[in-house]
Amino acid sequence: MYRYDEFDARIVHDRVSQFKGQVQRRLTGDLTEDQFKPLRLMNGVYLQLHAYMLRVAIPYGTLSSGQLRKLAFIADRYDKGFGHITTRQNIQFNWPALVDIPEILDHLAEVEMHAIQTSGNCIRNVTTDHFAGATADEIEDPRVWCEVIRQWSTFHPEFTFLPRKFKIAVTASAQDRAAVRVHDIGLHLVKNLAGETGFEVYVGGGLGRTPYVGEVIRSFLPSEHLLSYLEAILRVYNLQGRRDNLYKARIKILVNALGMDQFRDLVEAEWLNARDSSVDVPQEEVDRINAYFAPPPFENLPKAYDQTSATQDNPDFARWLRHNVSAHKQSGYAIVTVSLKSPEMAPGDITSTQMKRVADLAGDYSFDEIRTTHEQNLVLPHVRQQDLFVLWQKLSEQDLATANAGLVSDIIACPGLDYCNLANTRSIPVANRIQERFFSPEKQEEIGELKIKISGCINACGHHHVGHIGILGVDKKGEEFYQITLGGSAAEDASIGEIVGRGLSTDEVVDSIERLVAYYLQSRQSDERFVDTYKRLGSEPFKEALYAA
Amino acid sequence: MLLKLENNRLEITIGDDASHDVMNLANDVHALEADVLNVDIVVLNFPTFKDGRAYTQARQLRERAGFTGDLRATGDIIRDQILYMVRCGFTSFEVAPETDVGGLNAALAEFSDFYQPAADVAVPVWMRRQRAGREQLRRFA
Repeated sequence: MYRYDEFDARIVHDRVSQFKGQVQRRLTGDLTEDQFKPLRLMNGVYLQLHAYMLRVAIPYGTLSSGQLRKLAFIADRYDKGFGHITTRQNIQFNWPALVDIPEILDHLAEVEMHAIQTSGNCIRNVTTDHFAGATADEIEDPRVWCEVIRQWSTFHPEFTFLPRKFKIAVTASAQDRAAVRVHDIGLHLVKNLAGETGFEVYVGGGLGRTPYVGEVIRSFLPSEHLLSYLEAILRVYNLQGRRDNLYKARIKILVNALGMDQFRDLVEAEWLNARDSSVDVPQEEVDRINAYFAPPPFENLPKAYDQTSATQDNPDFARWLRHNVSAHKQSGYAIVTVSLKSPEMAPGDITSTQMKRVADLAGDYSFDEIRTTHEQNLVLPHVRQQDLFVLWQKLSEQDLATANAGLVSDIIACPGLDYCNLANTRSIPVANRIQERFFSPEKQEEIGELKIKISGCINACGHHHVGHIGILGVDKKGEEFYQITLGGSAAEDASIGEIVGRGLSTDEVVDSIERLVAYYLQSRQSDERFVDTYKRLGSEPFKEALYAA
Repeated sequence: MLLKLENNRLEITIGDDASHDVMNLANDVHALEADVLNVDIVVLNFPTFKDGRAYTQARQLRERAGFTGDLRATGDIIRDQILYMVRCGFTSFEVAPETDVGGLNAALAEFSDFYQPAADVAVPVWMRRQRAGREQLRRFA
């Protein structure tokens, strides 16, 4: 993975000093809260319902064991022993004191981490495929380009006070695990007919109040021009994006208002003048970064390890193999998804003890590497197949081997009213109740892939628009209601779910979802997924099932 | 109070706008549509510190229109943005009279390494890496 050189280290160090000064000026009253707010936000510090929250960047979701141990230390010392994995592959601490935050940043800097641009109206942490560098179906490791973008976007002097936040995601696989089409800019690494690598560039996707699936602005951008093209898009957005209304300020609104053709013309006109500037880093620098992402020293192993003896006596292990273990590009290796979706915990929450254990297990079984996923799980990317059984046993001891990756209980949920001061309703208890209702692993397996995503308000942090089943919390005269959307997807078949009818009360919502699932099970053809059956039959019969009580 | 950037430091100065051609450029005007050829001072406004359009306008004036005169920031200017403004090509600043000039100069010195090129003279980190790399190679050759 990427390691800091003297420049990276000094920039992060200077940033900590700067933020120390800003906190000091706030504490002495030199800065008003209104002036301090955008400064603390730019450094991932939010003021929530009960306390400050610190969001720490995990660039493109890649962590070392040492970094995860440091996060565990911070959770123990400055939080209540928890961390929370976010949908931008970052980690949040919900209970730090403001005066401690500079010290936390010092600790983070020791392991080459920071909280830079995890919030604010700037370019946020770039996200990517959590299987990057391990999956067989990628063109090249997309994290190299993520790091190029990370450096370019860090403290960008022109793009730090944009109309609104700006999110970029990169994938290099046909199977989109990074939700690139619901980002402000989505980058899909492809090869053209001549065999050259470049990007299919999507723009204008996003969730929130007005969800859009991004459209292609350029079908092939030679990779050496990535940064100048991004700069051209950002420049048009910075000048023309709306600043009069917070809810209409994202780039998706601008693209939609101008139409893609006119927006593209503006971007291409900007780019024409920028493409030969020194914004684009030369191949030498890309090669330098690329070297950090060289594959770990894999052993030469036979193609597949025979798990029969272990699975015979352990149906739970067999189920975990089926759902949480994915194919690796290197023969004899596998990718393991470590589920953070036990019904005992808020989705994405992890205890400091679990962090330390996962750090150790990554050291023993995955070349010291861990990934965070936008679906709020962890991944051990490089595990020898012959180690899977013992790894599963050790994960089980920590309640980290729930065999539910991609299944009904693998729910994305925002923090909701339990933490967030924007929320209308709670999200975590709804997620937990659905997980309890579908507790049976056999039942979950029978249902197959089903992505439920829950947001506690219209800001859509829980990505409900792109859930196969989306659940949106709304407040009606002080009472919590939940609106259901169906048929959404964040993957390569990206689509926005449809609202099917009136909101459901807290008491109704879990029963209704169970009826939806029952209707799907009786209606599906062969191995059709929930979302496929929905797309085949349309909303009407599902709507009937939902409100059948 | 008017501040002028000299050798990467801000000094209080007396404005002499009467003897110069000054252009006030609104935030919704594309910088390349303005005729700045015979202008000495272009003034760009920050209506609030959250409104960052003038950063782009400044870079376009410097890097695309080739404007070499004085580029002045007015409006809501706070210490923590001054470095971004300088990097985008601003050379003078109309600030509130009670502004702590020492604080602004401290803010200008908070960073010495920059990842990306802009309208200032800073050499982006990747370029310095290459230079460092080449020197290292030479030393070991």
